[in-house]
Amino acid sequence: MRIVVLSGKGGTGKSCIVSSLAVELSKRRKLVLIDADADCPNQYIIFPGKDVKGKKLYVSKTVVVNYRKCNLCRECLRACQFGALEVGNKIKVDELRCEGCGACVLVCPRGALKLVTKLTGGMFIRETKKFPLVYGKLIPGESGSGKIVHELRKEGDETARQREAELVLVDAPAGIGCPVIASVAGCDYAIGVLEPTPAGMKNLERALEMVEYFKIPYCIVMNKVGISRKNEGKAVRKFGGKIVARIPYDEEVPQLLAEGIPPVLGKGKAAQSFRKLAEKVESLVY
Amino acid sequence: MMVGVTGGKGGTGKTVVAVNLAVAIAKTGRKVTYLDCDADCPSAHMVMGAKRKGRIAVKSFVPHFNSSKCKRCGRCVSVCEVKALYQLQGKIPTLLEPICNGCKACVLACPFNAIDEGEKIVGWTYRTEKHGVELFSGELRPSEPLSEKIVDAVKDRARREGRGEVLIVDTSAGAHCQVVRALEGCDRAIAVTEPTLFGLHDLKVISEVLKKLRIEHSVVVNRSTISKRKIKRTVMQIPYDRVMIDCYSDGTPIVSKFPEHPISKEFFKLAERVQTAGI
Repeated sequence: MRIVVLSGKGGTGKSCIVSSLAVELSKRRKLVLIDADADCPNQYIIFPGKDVKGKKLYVSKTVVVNYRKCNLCRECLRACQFGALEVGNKIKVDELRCEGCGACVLVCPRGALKLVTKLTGGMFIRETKKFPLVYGKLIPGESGSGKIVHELRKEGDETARQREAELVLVDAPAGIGCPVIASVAGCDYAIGVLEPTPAGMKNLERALEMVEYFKIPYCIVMNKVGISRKNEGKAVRKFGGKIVARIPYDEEVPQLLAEGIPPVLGKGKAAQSFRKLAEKVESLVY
Repeated sequence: MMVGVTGGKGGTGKTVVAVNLAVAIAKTGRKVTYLDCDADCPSAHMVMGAKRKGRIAVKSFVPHFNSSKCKRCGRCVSVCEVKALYQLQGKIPTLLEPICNGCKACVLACPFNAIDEGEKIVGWTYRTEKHGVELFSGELRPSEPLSEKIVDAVKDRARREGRGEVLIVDTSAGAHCQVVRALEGCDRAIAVTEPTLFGLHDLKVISEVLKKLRIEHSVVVNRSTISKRKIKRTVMQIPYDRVMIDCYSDGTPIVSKFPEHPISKEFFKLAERVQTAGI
């Protein structure tokens, strides 16, 4: 069983909910946690432990120019759809724009261009107290975060198989684009985190539209309940029965997170709701 | 002058800071253009309480196979780096449309000229005006992965139609290609963070991106009262205050709704700083 937690908008409480679910569910089930936010991974801050495996990931490609062969015919510039090539007194590749598609290589009449793989980031498996955590780190600014997530997912599945873990929990990054699609694809169930603000509602709706595209069943958890009565009413009218749990806004949560503690370990009303949420999720997916 | 507002972590208040800064600058009489480059989750219009208009579709190339010319050789499938094409033996290749990034390598590789130009809509751009700020906004179509294409389209449109002297660029969360694309060309940047371990970790990541791009940045600390941590390069602190949540939920920037509020005054100071000291 693979469950992904996403929200579209950032800062709605995904990582907070995922860390709490992982703590609670690992009491009863073997699980593997994947932090699919390779841009800004946060789960490894909450869950200390020893990294037992680290691997460099060469998953994106770029182009190198052989200047002895290049005669500046500019065919490559015309072929590039991403504006990644510039020409002055020689052809220059803008690595931040290059998609590694190889169109330029195909048109070069002198064979002066070559597609090469490049270091995109790293992948780590950490042994935490209760479960293994698979996380990645994108080299800041690199493209290819979707490809890293793809690798994290593969590694997560493999780790789950080796350890006979029945549950893989995936913490998706913010947004609905490439790395989020890579987090969602192939999951069995999705949990949408709803922040009762206009942007929280609209962007969860967009995220769920993508989830529906992949035909994945989902439920919604309303987080920070209490910050806006008006918007909570709107959210209920909009998402109705899909909302299966409500986590009250609790000052304790940001304070615990500020210190890197999973909020389920707190004493307040939110902590209590996180424990109930874990039970609810189990009843829905098992 | 173009100022990027970013931060790494999601939900730190990038858009709220960017909108209030834009409105505060507009109140000083300067023309401000706002570029909402968070194509995945555009929200500046909601924070401003504006209706977006002037929708234009952003399109990307997709291959259309000409069945009479295609000899089923599979060249196109083998050159497709993103694996958007697959082929059953002896059949015309099939396109997995959302995966296609429009690179046209298939067209270039086809020995029989059997691939025609098709297109797909990957998202839209919009424009509107509110609180004296001209807003250009992008929106990725759900299930499409080409966020950076929308960012480029927003910037192109603002370049063509915008009249602002000061440009405010609001980026998405994260530190990958679409954030980089949004920040390209910015003269300065403001990184919005919160004083949590997550916020600080992600601030470090985005600082590295900004360093690579050679863009100097200052830091705005939101919800500064939840921790006593001191953060370098801080130029403004926003205390945790119920009024910010209310303004956010209502869709009115605090500098418009309560211009006398201490937080608004801080925004006016920040606006002044951006225009004189370059932040």
